[in-house]
This record gives sequence, structure tokens and C-alpha cells, in this order.
Amino acid sequence: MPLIKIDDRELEVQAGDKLLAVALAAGLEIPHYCYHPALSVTGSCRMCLVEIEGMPRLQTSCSVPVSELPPEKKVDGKFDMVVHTQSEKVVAARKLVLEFLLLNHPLDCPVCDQAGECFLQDYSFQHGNAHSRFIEDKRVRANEDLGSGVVINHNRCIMCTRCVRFTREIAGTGELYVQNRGYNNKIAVFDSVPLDNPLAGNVADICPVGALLLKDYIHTTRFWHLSQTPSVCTECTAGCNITVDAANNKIHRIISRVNEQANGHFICDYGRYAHNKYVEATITSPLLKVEDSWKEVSWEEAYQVIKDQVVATGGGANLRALASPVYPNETNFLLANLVDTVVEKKSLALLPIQNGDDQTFPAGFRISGDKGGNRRGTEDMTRKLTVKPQTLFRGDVGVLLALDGDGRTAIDGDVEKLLKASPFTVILASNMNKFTERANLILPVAGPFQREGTITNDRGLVQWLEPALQLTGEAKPDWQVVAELGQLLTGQASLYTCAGDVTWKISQTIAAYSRITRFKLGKKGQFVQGIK
Amino acid sequence: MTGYEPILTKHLGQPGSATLAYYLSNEGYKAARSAVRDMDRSQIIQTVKESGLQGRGGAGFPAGVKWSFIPQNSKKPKYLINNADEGEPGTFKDRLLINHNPHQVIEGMIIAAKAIDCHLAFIYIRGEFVKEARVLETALDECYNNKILGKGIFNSKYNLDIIVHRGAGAYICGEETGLIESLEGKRGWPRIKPPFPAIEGYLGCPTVVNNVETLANVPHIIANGGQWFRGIGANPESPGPKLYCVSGHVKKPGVYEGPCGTELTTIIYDWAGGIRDDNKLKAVIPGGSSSPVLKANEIDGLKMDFPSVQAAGSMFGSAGIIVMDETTDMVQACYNLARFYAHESCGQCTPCREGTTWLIKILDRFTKGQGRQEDIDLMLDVTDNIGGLIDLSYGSFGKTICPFGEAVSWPVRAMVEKFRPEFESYLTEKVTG
Amino acid sequence: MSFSFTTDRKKRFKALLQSYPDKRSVALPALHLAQEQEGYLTRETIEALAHMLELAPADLMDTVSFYTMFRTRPTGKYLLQTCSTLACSLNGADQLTDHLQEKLHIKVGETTPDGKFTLLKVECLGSCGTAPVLRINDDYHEKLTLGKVDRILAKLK
Repeated sequence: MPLIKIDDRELEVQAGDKLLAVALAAGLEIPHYCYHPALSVTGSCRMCLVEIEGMPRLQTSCSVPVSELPPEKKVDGKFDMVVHTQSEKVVAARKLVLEFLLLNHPLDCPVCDQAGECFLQDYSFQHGNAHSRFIEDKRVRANEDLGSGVVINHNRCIMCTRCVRFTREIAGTGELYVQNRGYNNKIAVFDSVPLDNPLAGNVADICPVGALLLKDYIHTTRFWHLSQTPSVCTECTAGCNITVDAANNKIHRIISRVNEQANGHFICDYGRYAHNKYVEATITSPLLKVEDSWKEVSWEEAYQVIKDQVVATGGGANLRALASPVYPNETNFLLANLVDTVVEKKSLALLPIQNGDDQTFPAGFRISGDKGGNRRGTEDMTRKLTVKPQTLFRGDVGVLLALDGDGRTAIDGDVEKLLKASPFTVILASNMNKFTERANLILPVAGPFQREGTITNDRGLVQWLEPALQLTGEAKPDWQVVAELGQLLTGQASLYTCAGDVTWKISQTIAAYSRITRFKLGKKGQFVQGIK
Repeated sequence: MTGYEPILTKHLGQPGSATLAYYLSNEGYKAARSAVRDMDRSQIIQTVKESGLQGRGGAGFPAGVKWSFIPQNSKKPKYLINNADEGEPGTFKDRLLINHNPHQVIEGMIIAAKAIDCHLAFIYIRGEFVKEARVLETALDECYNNKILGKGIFNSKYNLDIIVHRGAGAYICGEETGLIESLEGKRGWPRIKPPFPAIEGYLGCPTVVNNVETLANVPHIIANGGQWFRGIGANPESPGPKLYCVSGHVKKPGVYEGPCGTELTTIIYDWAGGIRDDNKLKAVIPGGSSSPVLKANEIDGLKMDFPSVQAAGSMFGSAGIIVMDETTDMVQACYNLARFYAHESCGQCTPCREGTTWLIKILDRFTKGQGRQEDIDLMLDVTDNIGGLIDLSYGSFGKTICPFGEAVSWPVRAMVEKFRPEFESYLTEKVTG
Repeated sequence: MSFSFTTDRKKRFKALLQSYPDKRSVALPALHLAQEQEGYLTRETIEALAHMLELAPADLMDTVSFYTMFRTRPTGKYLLQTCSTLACSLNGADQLTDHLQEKLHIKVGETTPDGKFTLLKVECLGSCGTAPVLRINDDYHEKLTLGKVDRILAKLK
């Protein structure tokens, strides 16, 4: 393997890898704009120029492959490439590129949403000039709505073409193009045919400057007010990594987080805008249905009602339960344990979730049609106990304990029959929807972006769901409510003080999860055993 | 020039010189026939290498060496592209070769194609040359009808098709990777190298791009041998016949053929009739608009070949000689060229996209009498930042993907540096007056 | 208005598809063919061609907008293009352009009200030895004088 030296760092790298990629992987900073690890290399912004010993010209590090030199040609007897990123030439070249990029830039950072996370701002501060020598009129263009909630501010655009390459190479839809030539180049859509694909929002994520903006984020907050939570999307079974940006317990935006084991670099717009679905009708206290209307009750009252109803409907033996693929493993595991302890025969089914078609994109990005985000984990947690839903409404049906489906529940014939057969239905939920409407008692638990625990994507990658929002009102963590219900119905004390305790218990119980713990997962997750 | 018989333009002006019949009756396609039937790849390449033929498009890269870069064992198809995207201001020789003797060019293509094992070749001709494209198409039709192109040409097992492909108005498509992108149906944004076209060119396949005049030389090299070619001209390192394009303030502008190494004064005064109205010479652009301008006193004894013009601080380029007499306003001339380059910048690289327009904005102010003293140094600085200082030893700083950065910077820099007093007087006269 | 090639051009387009090794390479010839037929390229034409070449319309428009010869707006019956680059400029191209503006009562970029002439100033046409040069539709007119231009225009019906 070639040995290279970048400034003072010695690195052993794969032959053929591009210099910038290996530098970034090693945590070294080489300023760049047009380069993006998931897109083709164009080498056009000229920002990543470096000096390579033996080469008279500066080179764009994004495009230079590392190769192995024959022993007699090695630099200093051992290096295959010696690179300077801070030499006088390089520093000067960067300054010049930045001067050019800022000639026509409006310098409107105070009103720009990118401020604080803008590479033009950062690099100008680190590598640029304080003054401009440009006294001519600037090129001024009006903003344009590109569609799919994306707006372009042309004046801030640096023509890196990441967005164009994204629509061509990743989405495969090619709505964006470079219009005209030279100084008149601009990003455009064809004659008002808008940006229209389920990955469109990514163009704002990958825009290194404040040119491409998400409409619903513009001027809503400032970057430095946001708390950024690394988490996982549960809108489908792909398990894309996201960063949830919130302030004052409100989500302002969701952006993609890189995880080569899961989503790569991107997310879909269903996930990106998922938080907008859950803001209404949040349940903040246990609700008991009394004569067709909801009455707020205390947790003590709610638990008492459940206890009474279980007794009244033939005891724990008649209990029925629905696990839900939108809840983490811990919650479903505890529910399965409860059923296993209280009921002798198998009495647990999976809540049916609405399905769509899988969508795959040219570069491999996929959106699963299965909207039960933790389908695989839920199956793993409940495998011993699950039956088909239709077996649940046979015989004497007692209290039904169900986890909600976040509005994605498919209330099919079987569920309908079960709901009708159940004398008393308890649903753990965070938001009102068609399914929760059917409950006799609703227990308020953590909703999307509030839940904590592990989820397993459809390829067996277990990841930690980090809550980005705090619980509101009387709501409790979902795993905790199931644990309390277990305590209520079995009389055994709960041993769990946090979701991670349950994760540990899972690792002790389910072989495929024996290596999974809260801390081993990190931010990138770990595959269940049996999968490489 | 005594003793020099035109080679490339020998048949120029003869009735029917563009027809196959005329060409065949003048030894036409003999070289291609022998190359296709009797020579193998390496023999052809060796002969062309021996000849010392340098690319006539402007860069002067040895043609035989370029062909030898095509990987022998690659299973991919190989492509030959004849670069007829003639657009360098001051250059108008390829158009002449095509109009008057298209078969000479096609014959060169057949030989080059055989040398690189290519079975589909293109003539990428600039879009404005509609008539020339038709001339080529007619000539190709004649070839197809006479088994000079198509399947089993010259009764051999070798197949070759040639397509005339019209550009659509973009100077940058004369750059070989911009041309390849354009041929692929895209905007002509040059590609970052490596990979070079010889490895990954058209459709990712090994590709050679040669200029029209380069290819027109090839049949003569095959017919007469590499040594014969190397003996033409003053310098065996830069030999061969050359078409000199003379335009601007001369009495008889036009294309003149002579050996490489002909003195520039001979071309301007003896062939092109000297300066119009017998004015005094002020400046000459020797190798197309991208080559740095030379002042009148810099051209005495200057031989027109790649090394000699380079030694004089400019470039032989395409031998597009633009002559400017004493009446020429160098600020306007500079503005004119800068405007051309700003119009033709493809806009891919930051320095070129932003810098070329910055230059013309400054020059525009200048010509309107709104220049500032510091603008002169600013212009020099901007050119430096687009294409680097004029440094012919190893090219530019590498500030842009393609050599367009140098192509705009060097001529503008040379004009400002060499005619600085004119820029300054322009400034004061216009401002105070 | 949807676009389709005339029978003859459809044949030529099909022949193009057969002779090139890939579809996209046919973009420039196909655009020339369509422009020759329609005079300029409308949104519908570009969409139809993109469909034929299996490209996103935006992708084809990317190509169209790069090249000066592809027009997305109609022009007069005669498209007058004066070369304005150095060799022509040294030989009176600016006067030629001024003359045409005065004579036709239009500015560069405009079309005469009767739709007969459109005047454009273009960069190097590659005919510097016969400067100044005027390109009228597909034809070059070289070594022009103002008198010569007047005579040429007079012949254009």
C-alpha cells in the first residue's frame, strides 16, 4: 500500500484512492466545494489545490489518485507522495479562488440561513481576504422556486454543481441543469418543470453555501440556536441516519447524517419532513373514553381502570396484545415479556402498518415501502409469541393492549374484528389518529423523535434512536409504561431504570442481539449476529 | 521561398480539387492503401514518430507519440476524432484544407485510424462551417462508393466509418476533452485529466484527437517517409510544411504554406505583401489569439516553429498571425480579445468564469475613461490569478482544468505589459480630456 | 404544439441513431436537424427530442443553452451575424455593424418589424483572412465593404 505524507501526517492508503478522499478520511481538512464523496469528481471549484512534490503545478486533490512508486523513485526513500496543504503557493491560490467566488456574492450573511454552517463563510474567514478589490457592479439575479420545497438564491451560488450532479447521479431524475455558459452559468430547472423527486431536499443539504434553501426552514431560526441530535429515521425500514435540529423543544429541520452502513449520505423527503406530521393532536395525559368523549385521568386512575378491566374480562389469561413496528425494540420486547408471563397461549400479533411500493434510485439509495420502521426488530423481539391477527379474536377476548402505529396503522378486517371483539382496548400512543380513536383508554407515551432505544433496519443494522424532543405533559417513555403495565399485571417489580437497561436484557435473552449494548452501537450502529 | 514546393496546398485552386477523381489522379489514397494493406500499427506509428510531426492545433504535441498512447490490448473500441473546430482567432487554415482538398484530410484519417485500430472516426467541425461540412460529406460519400470507407476498405479486412459531426458554436470545444464531451451530446466542459483521452476518451474509450492540418500531413509522411518530413524546414525538432494564416493589417491576408521555421518577416512582408498603406508595424500575434503579442522590434529574425517562438516569449500555436499596424489602439485590441475569451469561457472553473468577466468589466471602464491607475496592476494580477504568469517552461500554475485559463491570461497580460504606456496615456487623456 | 420530424428528417434521425455508438451523441445533430426544420427550438421540441434520446429535458436543455448556435427564440428570415473579434475588428467590423444597425433601423440583438432581418454580433467566425465577415443564415460573406453589404442585402427578398 502506498505511503503518503500530507503535511506532517504519514498515511498508508489504498492505491487509486483520491488524495482529498484519503485526507478527509484521516480527519485532515483540505478546503473544497465541488467535491462530494457520493458524487462524480469535476475538479472545477479549484479550492482543494495542493502542492505535490515533483509536480510543478498545483493539483486539485479531489482528482489526483494515489499510486505506488517504484522503490528507486520514492520521495525521501519511502513516500509515494508528499503533499503540502499549507505551503505559500497553496495558501495564495486559495485566497485567489475565494476572491473570485466572492466577487459577485452579496455578502448577506446576517440574513442568510446558511450562516454558521457555510463553507464560503468559514473558508473566507480562515483562508480569504478581508477586503475586495472588485469595484464593478455585481451580478444580481432574483431568487427562484425550484419545486419540492427548494428555493435557490442565485447570488450566493458558487456553481459547484453538486446539486445538478445529485439529481442526475443519485436521484436519476435530472431536473436540475446548468444553464448558459461562462459568467452567465446558473442552476436552473427546465422551463418551469420543477424539481420533483422524493430525494429533492438533499440538494439543500449538500449545497456548501446558502444558495439552495428549504422553504420551510428559511428564516425560522439561526443555526447556532439549534441543538443537533444524531438519530435515526423510523418512517420506513431503511433506517436512514438523520440529524434532528431542534430549538425550544420544536424541530426546525431534519437533515441527513452520513452512515455508509445504512443510508450513505442522503435521506428522502418523507423522512426529512416527517416531523411536520406529528405536531398536531399530541396526547399529554391519559385519556379515558366516557360516553364517546375523552376524559383526562391521572396515571393512577388509568392503571386502576386497566386492572379492573382485566379482572372483569376473565383475567390475564384472556389478554390480547398488539406489538408495533414503529416502536423500538425495548418497548416491543417488554410487551412480549408481559404477554409471555401473563398469558399461557400465544396472544400477540403485530400491528399491521400501511405499505407502499419500494423505491430505488440509480446510485442505490432506497426507500422501503414498509412504513413500519422497526419491523425487523419488532419481529425479532416477539418471534416466540406472535400469531396472525385473526387468531386473536377467537375465543374469550379480554383486554387488548396495543402500541400505536403513528397514524400509519392499516385498520384492516382482522384489526377491525379484533377491536370489535375486545371489551376494553388500551392503546399506548402519542398522537390522536384513526386507530387511537378506537381505544377505551389511551396512555400517553413518547412519540416520534421522543422515543429512545434500539431499532433494527431491514438489513439487520441495529441503531440507537436518540430522542431529540422532550416529553410533554404527563407522557412517559413508552418502554417505561410497558414496564409499569408488566408490574401491574404480573406483580413483579420492574428492574429497568432506562431504555439501555432493557437493551442489555435483550442482549441476554435474544441470541442475535447478544453483542448489542447501548454504548457499543455508537452513532453508526451494529449488525445483528448472523449478518456480517 | 525558393525551393519550396507546396505540399498541403499543392492542388489549391485547381478545378475539381475537392473531388475524388481529381485526388485519385494525383496519387491520392496511395498512402492510405499501403498503410491499410501493407503496414501494421507499429510501422505507421514509428514512421510518424520519426517524422517529428507536431500537432498543428496549437499545442504541438508529437502526433506519433499521441497515437502510441492508445493501449494495444484494450478490448474497448478506439476512436479517432479529427478536430475541425477551428475557432482560434487568427486561424483559418483548416477550413481551406477542407474546402479545397477534403480527401487529403480523409486519407490522413484513414491512416491514423489504422494506426490506433479504430473503426469509427469523427470529424468534429465547427457548427458555423455548414458549407465545409457538406464538402466533407460529399467527399465521404465518394469514399463509401469507392470502397475507400466502409467495410473491407481497399479490399482489405479493415473496416472504417467516418461521421461528420457539427459543433454548435463554442470555442472551448476545440479543447480535446471539451470536444469529446460535446461529441457525447453534452455541454463542452473540459474534463479533468488524468485520465487522458488516450485511455478514457469518447464514451470512456481510448481516443485520439488530431487537428485537420496534422492529419493532412500524414499521407505525405507515409508516402515519402519520416526522414523526408524531418528534413523540411530549418529545425529538425520542429519540422514539416506549415500553413501560416495572416490576417489584420497586411496587404494580402490569407493562408500561406511554407516550411516550419520560415521567418515571420518573410511571411508578413514577402508573402502577405507587407503592412497596409505602408504603415509602420506595431505588434504581431504570432500563433493565434492565445499567444502573447510580440512588439514590432521582437520579430526580427524570428523563425516560426515551436521552439523558436517559445524562445521569443510567445507561442507558435496554430500559426495564426494577426498583424497590427501603428494605428491600432492596443487598449481596444486588448478589450476585444478579453471580450472574446469572456464570451467563450465555459464557466466551469471558478477563476476563469469569474476572472474573465472581471477583466472585461475593468477594460470596459477603461475604454469609457473611467480607469484608475491601480486598474493596470489589478488587470495583471487578475490574469495571473486566472492562468498564471507567462511561463512556457511548464505551463501554468494549474489554476483551471483546461489551458483556456492561460489562453486568456497570457495575451492580455502581454498586451498590458508591453503597451503599458498606451494604457496609461489612455487613462490620463480620457480622464482629463 | 407538439414536435415531430418530417418524414425525410425522421429518416435522417433514425440513420443518425444507427450510425452513432450511443444515443446521447446524437443530441447535437438532432438539435441541428430540428432547428433546421423549425427555425428555432421550442420547449416542446426540446422535450420531444429529449424523449427520443432518453434524456431528461433539463439535461438536453443544459446542452442547448451552452451553444450559441442553438436558438430558443425565433429570428428574422435572414439572420445576420457580424464577426466582431480582433482580425475583423481591425478591418472595420465595428463600422460594418454600425452600418447595418443604421440601415436596418435595429440594434444588435433585434429583428426588423417585418421579420426579415435579425442582427447579431458574434465572436470569431474563423475567417480572419477575409475580414470583415458577415454570416447570413448558413453562408459566409467575406472581405466586405459597406457598398458590398448594401448590394448583398438588396438581393435578399
